[in-house]
Amino acid sequence: VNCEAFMSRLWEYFESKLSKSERDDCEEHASTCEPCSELLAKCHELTCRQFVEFLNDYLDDTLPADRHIVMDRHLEVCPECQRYLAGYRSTIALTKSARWDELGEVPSELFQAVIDAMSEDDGAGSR
Amino acid sequence: MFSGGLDGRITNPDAKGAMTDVMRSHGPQILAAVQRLVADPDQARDAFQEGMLAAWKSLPGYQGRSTLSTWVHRVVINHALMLLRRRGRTHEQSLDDLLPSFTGYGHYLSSPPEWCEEPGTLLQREEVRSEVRQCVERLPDTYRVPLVLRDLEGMRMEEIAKLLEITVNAVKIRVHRARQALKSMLEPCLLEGAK
Repeated sequence: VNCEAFMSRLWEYFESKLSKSERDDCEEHASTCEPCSELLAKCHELTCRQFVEFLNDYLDDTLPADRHIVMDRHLEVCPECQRYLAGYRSTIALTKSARWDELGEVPSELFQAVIDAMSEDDGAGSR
Repeated sequence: MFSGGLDGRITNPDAKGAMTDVMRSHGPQILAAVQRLVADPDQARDAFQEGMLAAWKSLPGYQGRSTLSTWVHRVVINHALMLLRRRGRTHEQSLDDLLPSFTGYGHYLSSPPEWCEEPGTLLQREEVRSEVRQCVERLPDTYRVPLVLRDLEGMRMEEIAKLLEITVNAVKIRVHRARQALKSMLEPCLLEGAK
């Protein structure tokens, strides 16, 4: 198993979809290859489910520093969470930006109805 | 009282004139905020009118801690939330189908799709702007209201919690779930449009 084969099997490794011998091959490679060993350790730190669970706090920067670093590290090695985060950020941006082009005038009859209601009321100006 | 520089936009010395100024300068924003909260256009107009009247009646309590327009905006929003509570939750459906699913080992069941276009580019398309608004409106009240207050009104979590009488943690969870659901709802339109 070389580094490329190791990385291509990583998902199946965590999903327990490899045979025992394939799994052993991966672990043997990681034990002799420093970059792949680090990658395996990072993947063990946090699952994608946990990454998504804490995403809100991650973006609001309200996670404890050590937790934030673990999220950063997971993001570095997980293209799926990178895509999820990008879509999540885009959703927020779209929601915020779509607001302003819908502003019209207050309809004149509604405007007048409020003025009339204020006039009828024994309002603040006379209290 | 109202000519003392509490709000740079207000020049009228009388209360009614000040309220009219606010309605003229900020009425469209306030009405749009109410519409996003209440969703139904007729109910939104009623809520706007009742909310403005509530602000008028409460005007003696205005202490100038914020601009008059901001204060009126908050009073009207509060009134719209009361209306929502009175209206009750008639068809609160679960969002579970719109949230990402994971395997027992915590991996995505299906890989998240890639959004090819930037939000700025997407928003140039009218159908995208329309889709975003429709999707927000389709969210159940429980999730739509915190999302609108956070992402559209820009309120702090603590402020939303106070308004909705729930914990800050509950607000965070609802906003997060609403964003996740909205993402899933938008994807068919956006990914189709990108092809």
